[in-house]
Order: sequence, then structure tokens, then C-alpha cells
Amino acid sequence: MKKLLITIGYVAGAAWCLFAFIWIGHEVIEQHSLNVAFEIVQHGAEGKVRAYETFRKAPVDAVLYALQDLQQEPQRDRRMKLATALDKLMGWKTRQQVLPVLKGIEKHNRTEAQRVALLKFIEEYAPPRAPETDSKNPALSSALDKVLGWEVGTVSLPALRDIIEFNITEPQRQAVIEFLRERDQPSARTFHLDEPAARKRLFALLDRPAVEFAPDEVRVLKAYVSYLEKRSLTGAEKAALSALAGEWGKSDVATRKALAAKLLDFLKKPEIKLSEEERTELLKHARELKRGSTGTAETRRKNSTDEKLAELLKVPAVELSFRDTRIVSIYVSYLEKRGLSYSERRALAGLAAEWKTADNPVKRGLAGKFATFLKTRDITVTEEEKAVLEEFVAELKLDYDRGRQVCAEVVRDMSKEAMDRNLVIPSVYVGDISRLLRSKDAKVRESLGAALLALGARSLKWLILGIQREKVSEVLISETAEKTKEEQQAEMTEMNNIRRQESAKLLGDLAGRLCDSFAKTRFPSAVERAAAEKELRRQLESARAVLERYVGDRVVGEEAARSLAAVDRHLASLTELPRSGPTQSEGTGSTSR
Amino acid sequence: MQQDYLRYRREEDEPKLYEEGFGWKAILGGLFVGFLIVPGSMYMGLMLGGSLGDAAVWVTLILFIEISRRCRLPLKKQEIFIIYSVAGGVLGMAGGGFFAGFISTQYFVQSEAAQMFEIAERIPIWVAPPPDSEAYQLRSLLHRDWWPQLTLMGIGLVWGRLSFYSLGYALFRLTSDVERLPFPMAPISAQGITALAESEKETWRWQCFSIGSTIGLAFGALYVGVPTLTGIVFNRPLTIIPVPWVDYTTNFQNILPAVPVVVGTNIGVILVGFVLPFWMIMGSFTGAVLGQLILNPILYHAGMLKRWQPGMDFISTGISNSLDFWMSFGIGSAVGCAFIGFYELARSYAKARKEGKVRKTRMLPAPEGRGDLPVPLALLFFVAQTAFTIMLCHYLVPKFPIWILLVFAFGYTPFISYVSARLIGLTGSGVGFPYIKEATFILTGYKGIDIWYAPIPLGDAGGSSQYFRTVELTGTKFTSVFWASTFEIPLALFCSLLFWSILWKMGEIPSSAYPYANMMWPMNATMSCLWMTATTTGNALFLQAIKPEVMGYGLLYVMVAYPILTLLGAPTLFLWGTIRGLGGNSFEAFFEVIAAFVGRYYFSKRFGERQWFQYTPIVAAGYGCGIGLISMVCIAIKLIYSAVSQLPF
Repeated sequence: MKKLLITIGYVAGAAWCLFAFIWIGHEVIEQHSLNVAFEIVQHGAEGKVRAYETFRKAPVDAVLYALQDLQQEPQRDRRMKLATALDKLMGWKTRQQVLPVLKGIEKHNRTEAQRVALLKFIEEYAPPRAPETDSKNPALSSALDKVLGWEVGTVSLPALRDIIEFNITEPQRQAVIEFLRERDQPSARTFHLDEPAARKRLFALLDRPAVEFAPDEVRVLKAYVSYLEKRSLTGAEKAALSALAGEWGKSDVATRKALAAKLLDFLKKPEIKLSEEERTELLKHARELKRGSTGTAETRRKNSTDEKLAELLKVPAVELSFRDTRIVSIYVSYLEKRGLSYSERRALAGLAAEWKTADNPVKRGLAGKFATFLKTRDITVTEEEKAVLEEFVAELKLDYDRGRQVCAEVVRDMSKEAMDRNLVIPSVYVGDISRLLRSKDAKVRESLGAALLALGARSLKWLILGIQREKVSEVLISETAEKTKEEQQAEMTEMNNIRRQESAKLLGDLAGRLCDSFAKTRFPSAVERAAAEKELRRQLESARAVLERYVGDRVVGEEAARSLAAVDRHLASLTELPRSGPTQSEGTGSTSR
Repeated sequence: MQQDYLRYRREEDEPKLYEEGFGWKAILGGLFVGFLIVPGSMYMGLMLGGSLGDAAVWVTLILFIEISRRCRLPLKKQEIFIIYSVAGGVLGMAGGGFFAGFISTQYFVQSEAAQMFEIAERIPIWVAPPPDSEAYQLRSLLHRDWWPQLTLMGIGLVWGRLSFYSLGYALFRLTSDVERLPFPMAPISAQGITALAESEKETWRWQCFSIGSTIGLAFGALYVGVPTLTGIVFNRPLTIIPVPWVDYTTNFQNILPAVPVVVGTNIGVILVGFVLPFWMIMGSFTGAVLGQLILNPILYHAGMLKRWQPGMDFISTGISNSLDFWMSFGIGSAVGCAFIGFYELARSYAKARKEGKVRKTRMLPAPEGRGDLPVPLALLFFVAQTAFTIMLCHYLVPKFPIWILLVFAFGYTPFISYVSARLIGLTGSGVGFPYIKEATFILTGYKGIDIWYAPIPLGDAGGSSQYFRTVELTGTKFTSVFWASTFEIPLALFCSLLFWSILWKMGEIPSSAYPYANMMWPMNATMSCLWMTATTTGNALFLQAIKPEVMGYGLLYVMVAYPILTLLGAPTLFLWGTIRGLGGNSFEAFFEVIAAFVGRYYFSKRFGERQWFQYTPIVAAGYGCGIGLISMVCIAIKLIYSAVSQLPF
């Protein structure tokens, strides 16, 4: 018996292994073919037709691979590595002159020649600055938000608890309603409180006699209670608030002085009652803080770091304040990042070897300079050489951009292919496509937009999310090996704005696409048609609600207004559609943008 | 020092007879643990962060031994071992495995950290339902949105059975049957079982266990009982002793900047100080004082701890310091430990060869009746199971290069498993390269969150070889253990589903009802997010937190301290202790060191050193049992209250 079982074990195990390794082998080959196909299409080599044939064999995988390439950071690309290295080389001399100057400023020890070098640098290379809309003191900003919300919170929290306990008075209920109307609470998202329907339901329940509350309605209220409870100040916020109170305590303005005392009391015991005047003052300050032009000791100064540096150079060396040191150190870290990394040096060595035998004498000369630079870390580039380098760098960047555009085209074409063949692209990857709308390359955005339109209703959620992402999360902005935090912040904010605008634009187009598709679809019965129409209306209404909210937005207002008009038009047209559809059924992904 | 641990294998210890141990008694043991101990353990995990663990297992054993005695059906050594194994398995799988993962995932998906790091929306549906899923509102583990996870879990369970007779078993045959390595730590569990099986009267073990239990019961009543029971009656629980600690970080921030100052309130720390080796505690204390109390302010003033700001509490301070320094230092020192592990392996092997302890004979035939399988078949099972894991992994994360999975599965895993099994066989502890998986994800440039949840075929089966050796020493047939573990799975699955569902239905997890989970889960979620951002943004905080120079300091520290301590003849445990303490809590280490001193210079002298070190683990087990019993009583009352009272929600 045991021998029989062992034999069965051997046979079953061997059979499974055989099957498994055939499958794995097939997948390895497919993965390799896809990688080769991407190499071919990205580098403009021959064989694009065959590459596309490979993509068509596995359209969903092709989309995922293309997304993988599109999501890569530029510095991981060989061409961009070389381009960055050459860019750095072109500014090398200035960097070498300026870096010691800045370090001298840090140590309060600079000469006249250094000042001149630095001024020249400021003219030529100004590191990106943080966008003005972002708060300069996020801890204080959020602390003030909480203080301002606290007043309402102290009224609402017991009121909400009373509601849960079924013991409320009319004024309390009104206070809660007012509070909830004013507030937009991200932490309550899991309870769908951001959804207009859910909010409507909540307001409705507050208008009813308390005893009629259903258990789930009470749970919604409890979510608000726990949200309010979580609004206590963090350590950083307390510290920021304490600093502000200290500063305002010395102020000549009576309101500020009074506020300072109240804030200090608030830090001891979290209760506060503000007069209208005090509330206005605090609100004004919070707004200024968000605009980046606030009056605290640290942030009152000019936002422009290069202007500040130039200002510093005009006065004799003095004891630098914390803020000044920070400005200088931003510059120092910016310049230090203009040093070449190991991989960039290797790329440069490769180019030096290649150009050693080039026909162009300038390139040959540069090859020698590169080789010397790699040994001595010193290089001076003539104007002629600079022109050659700039042209070469532009070519490299163009080639890289072209590669990305091709990848985006693959995403577009294969998304359509997948939809036509009823293959499902997982939702998280649709999310990836929508996130890539932040690309600075218009062609890439256009292709990805077409892909999202082809994916139809599945894109809706992501486009809505895209518009709502008003700012880049603080925790995601950090210094990298290549960029300073300020550079990162500036770039990420810009890209986020692009994404928001694209999402707003696409929402209008998508509404049209969904309506077209609905109009062209033949439904087997009136019941099914009614259900589909209801669903379509729900989708359009949710898009409409978001667009309406952002019509006055500084970044996406224009696009949102246009799309809102389009959605309204389509919603109106829905009722005018004939009750029977065309004779042939068509999917949402059958047409392109 | 190492020779203290190296007990050479004596042929007279080898069992002559192997018997079956799995039967209705083991089934009853499993049911007892599954339905009575598991809910208490779950609750305790959420409340205090620990689990009933070994205490519950020993309680089950003692109870079953006593019942059997009264019924005049004394348990055999093999039966006791199987009950021990089933109890531990059910408790581990039901309490900390299976649906516990669902509960922690549901929190993670909805957590503030996952929202802030923009990770929540990227989690694939086979990991957890999307953040707006109805499953979270209904708090249901069987909602259809969980079906992908349930399916994956089911597939994993079926295929996981093949891993029993797999690489670990093959390595056991190689290192134990062929190389005859001593496995110095294997006899500990085996001898405990043997002692219980042979004890006919109440002995000192009972006294120690009772003392520990009484302490646990008394302390647990205040620590766990009062907040839990008052939480039922009042809106907010009444907490006499703050759980799990009192935070003084902000109070001391001017004197001790960037120092996490916290006083733990669980007296279990004192027992840890009694149980752990003295030099490890000393090292731990030295490391904690040096690292946290002295080095942190210096690093802060030197500008290396950039994230810390006045006003940060214990958790925020810990996270920011970890990002700025200690995470990198920890990686460096872990790599150093791995190198030293390899060095010790080579040294032990050379020494064993010199002393003629390594046999070069061909594979000995397996002892009659042990329940063995042919080694080639075990290897075939390993290949089959690994191939399946690769297929599943590729299906779930199609973008990840398969060749890397193949290298992990058939290159790294067998290699590290063999090295680890040999080291365990010689010294009792294994070896591994830290963060190899994470580094691979980042270096391949993979983009996406899914890879962090994928079943990567990377593991270390070295520990299994020791387990087989323990089974062998108790004279239990391997087939008994196989059937016992097969029985455990459906039972643990059912209990896990039942009790986690009830707990979740009772209220949000975590929430203020579970102080430990409420404090620690957000921190854990943030740390997970940090790792994950490495494959999303490309400029993740994690990548920023990895500082090669600081990793170098960690590596240098281990590589310099080890030879110095070896040359001085000092115990190397001191070094491992310092590594434990450097990133730890200096104030908790303070209690531990006091306990260690009292143990060494008072109790050891009073009871005798050998006797004291036999007492302490049993007292600790008794304490765990006592506090666990209180937890079980409290959860029972809470469950009854929830079941009989009418709530509007």
C-alpha cells in the first residue's frame, strides 16, 4: 500500500512539474518577447509590425508592461542618465565656483570675488522654488484649521453624542446641521459621506425626530463623532501654535494679544471661544499662511529664495538667522546634487569611448575632456562644444520622449484591443493610466486620455479621483538623490495640476462617450434599457457633482466648467433618446478619441 | 561561549520506538484551544499586543494530562507531543493567521497612512476590497468583495500541505540522518514534553507555574480586566494602569531632544529580564542607553535626526528617528550578523571536521517506523509546490520578471535553507540576508503595490529540520504530525472566521476599546507604507531613509565589536543584546536590567543558579497563563453582554 502511494506521489508530482514548467517556460518566452517588442518600438528600430503582433497576443500584459515603462523615473533610463550627466557638465565650472561661495556664506566668511560669482550664479541657475500656494508652515496651518473648527466642534460633539443617545434639542440639531454643511471631511470617506446622496441622507435624518434613527444612521453619526475626537492637536501643531502665541503675545495689536492668551489657554485645556473679531483675525492669518505670505517670524520674509540670497550678499557678513541658513543650505544641496553619480560617470565614460573615434573633431575633443574630467573632476567647455553637447542632449531627450510616446500609444491601442475582445484590465492599472495623465508630454497625455476613454465607465472613478486630488501629499515630497525637496515639490505640484486639468477635460469627453455608447446599444428589453439608463444617469450625476464643485477652482475651473456644460448637455439629451436602439450592439471601447 | 550551547548528539538519546500520537485526544485538545483559548488570545493581542501563545499550550497540556489521569487513561509521550503541536498550531493559525490578516488588511486599506501615501487606491482586489467597499461598512468577512482573498487562501492551504514533506524534511534527512549534526536546541521542547509525560506527582514545576499564574491573574485583573469590564458598562473604559505605556517624551524634550521617553506598564518586562540570558540583557541595556539616551541627542545636534521636532510623542519620535538613522543602522548591523553567521558556520564546520564529528558516510536508511518518505519524493514535492507558487505569483503580478522568481525559488531558497539548517544543527540559530526581497523589488524598478503582497517563492526551510528533529526525539511518527497538522487547518479556519467575525461585528478594529492596536497599528501602517512607496513614487521616504553611510556604521559596529569581544573572551551574547537594544526603548531596558541583576545576584544565590534558570521560564509561562485567563474571562463576559443586550447599532 505504502509503495503504491509513493508511486502515485512520484507520478502525480512529476506530471504536475512537467505541466508547470511548460507553462512557466511559455510565460518566460512571452515575457521576453514583450520586452524585446518594447525595445523595438521604443527605439524606432524596424519590426514594429511584428512587435505589435506580439502585443496583440497578450493585450492586457502589453498594457501593463507599457505602464511599467511609463512609470519609470527618467534617471533609470540610459539616455536620460547621459543627458543629465552632460547637463551637469555644462554647468560644472559655475558650480565649482559657486559651491565654495555658498559654503562660505554658511560659515559667514566670504570675499568680494565670491559675491560676484554667486550673483552670476543666481542669474543663471535659480533652483526651483516651492509653489506659492503651498503653506510654508504646514503644522501651524493645520493647527489653526483645527482651532477654528474647534469652536464648532465643541458645540457639535456633545450634540452628536446626544443625537446618538436620542436626546437632542432643536438648537443643537441646527448646530450640527450647520457644522456638517460647513465641513468637508476626508476621514469620513469610508462612510461615503462625500457622496452627495449620503450627505443628503444625513441632513434628512437630522431634520427628522430623533427617535426614528435607524442603526446604520446612528453609525454614520458615530463616524462623525470619532472624526471630531481625532481633531486634537499633534505635537508639531502644538509647538507651532505655541510659537505663534509667543509671537503674538508681543504684538501691539490688541486682537492678536488676546488671541495669544486664548491660544495658550487652549494648549493647556482644549476649549476655546472666539469673538467674531478674533475669529476673523485667525481666519485671515490661516489664509495668509496657506498663500505663503504670512506674518510669522519665520515665514514673513520674502518667499523668493534667490532674491533673499542677493539681499544677503549686499550686507556685510552677519550672524545668519535660521531662515537664512536654510535658504543657503537649499542652494548648497541643490548644487551638490549637480555632482555626477556613479552611473552617470559610467555613462560619460561610455560616451567618451564612443566619441574618441567620431568624425566630428569637436566630439573627439570632448571625448578627451570627458576622460580628463573623470580623473581630475575639472572641465571647461567652450561655446562650440557647448552647442554640440546641447544638440546631443536634445537628441537624447527627444529619443527618450519618443519612447514614452510610443509606450503611451501601446497603452491606447492595446486598451482598445482588450475592450474589443472583452478582456479585463484590472482596475488598479486603469488607476495607473489616470495617474500618468500628469505627464508633461502632451502626446503622451493624448494617448493615455484616448485609452481612458476607450475603457469607458471603468475610468470614471479614477478621473473623479484625479480632479479631487487638490494637492500633493506632504509625505510624498522628499529629497532624492537627484533633486532637492523644493525641486521635487515644484515638479510634483505642477504635474498634479496637469493631471487635474486633464481629468476634468476627459470627464466631459467620457460623458459624451458613455451617452453615445448607450444610444447605439440595442437592449433586449425595456427593463434592461431602463436599468442601463439608470446606471448611466448615476454615473453622469456623480461626474456632474464633482465638476460643479470645481467650477470655481483656480487650477481646473476652466476645464471643469466646459466639461460640466458637456455633461449637462448629455444628461438633457438622455431623455430625448428614442426608446428603441439601433440594430447592432456596440461596446464603449469601439471608437477612439 | 559557544560550547555552552553545543551539546553533542548521543546515540543513547535516540528513540528506539516510534508511535502514533494523533487520535481523539488530540482532536479534543484542538477543539478546546480553538473554541476556548483562541478568542481570549485574539482579544489579548488587540488589547496588549501579545498572545496567549505558549501559556495556553501548556495550560491545555496540563489540563489534558490531569483529565486523562483522573480517567485512568494516561497520555503517552507521543500523544502529549501531538496535543502540544495541535494546540500551538490552532492557536497560531486561528489567532494570528488566516482571518487576522483580513482584519489587519481592512484597517490598512482604510488607514490614514494608506490615504496619505496614496496607497489605498492601488491595493489590488486580490489583497483587499477597495476602500469604498460595502464589506467594510457591513464589517463582514464573507462579503463577496473578500472572495478573491478567500480563494487565494484556500488554494494556499491545499498546496501548503505539500510543504510538510518538502525541503525542510529533505534537509533534516541530510543534516540529521547523514551528517548527524547535534541540533542543540531541539531537545528543549522534547524534554519538556518528556518531563510532563513522566511526572506522576505535583512537583516544583507546579509551584512555579502557580506563582506565575497568581501574579498574572492579579495584575491582569487591573491591567486588562478593569478597562474591559468598565468599557462594557460605561461609554469610555476606566483605565487604572495606562495601557501599554505612559509617554513622557514631550515632557523631557528640552533635556533629552529626540529621545523617546516612555515607561512600559506591563510587568511582563520584568519576567523577560529574569528569563533572558544575563549578558543579553546587559547588552540590551547598554545598547538602549547608548543608542537612545545618549546617541539620539548627539545625532540631533549633529543634524542627522532632521525630522524630529519638539512636541512629537513617542510614536512620532520613534518613526522619525528610525527614518533618519536607526532603520539604516539596523540594516547594516543585520547584514553584519549574517556575515558573522556564515563565519560561525564555517568555523563550526572546520572544528567539527577537526574533531571528527562530521560523518562522510552515505545516507543512512531511515529508522524503521518513523514515518519517512523517500528523499527524492520530498524534493519532488518541493519542486511541485514551488512551481505552483511561481505560477500563482506570475498570475497575480504578471509584470515581475519570472527569472527572478526562478532564481529565488530554486537558487536562493535551497542555498540559504541548507546553510541555515546546518547552522541550526550546529549552534541552534540560523542565518539569513536581511531585506533581500525588498532590495530586489526596488532594484528591478518594479512599479506597483501588488508585489508586496505577492507570494514570492523565497524562504528559509532551515527551521523545519529542527522541528523534525524534535519530533524524532519524542518518538512520534512523522505521519502523526502530518495528520495532526491536516486536522488543525479546517478547525483553525473555522475558529478564525467565527471569532474574528464576532470581534469585528462588535466594533471597529482597532478602536479605543483595544488600546494596543489603537496605538500600534497606525504606526505599523505608516512603516508598511514607507516600504511600499519605494515601488510607487520612486522618490519614496524609504529610499531617502536608506543611507548607505549609516548602514556602513551598523555593519562596522558589528564587524568591529565581534572580534573585540571574542578576543577579550567576553560573551558574544552581549553584542547581540546591544543590537537588540540600540533601536529599543531605554526605559523598558532599565526594568529588564534590574530584573536581570535581582535574578543573578539574589534569586540565583538563594535557589541555586541551575534551579533558578529552570524556574524562570515556568514562572513566565504561568504569568502569561494568568493574564491570558483574565483576558479569556473578560472576552467571555463581553461576548455574552453583546449577545444578550439590545443595541440600537
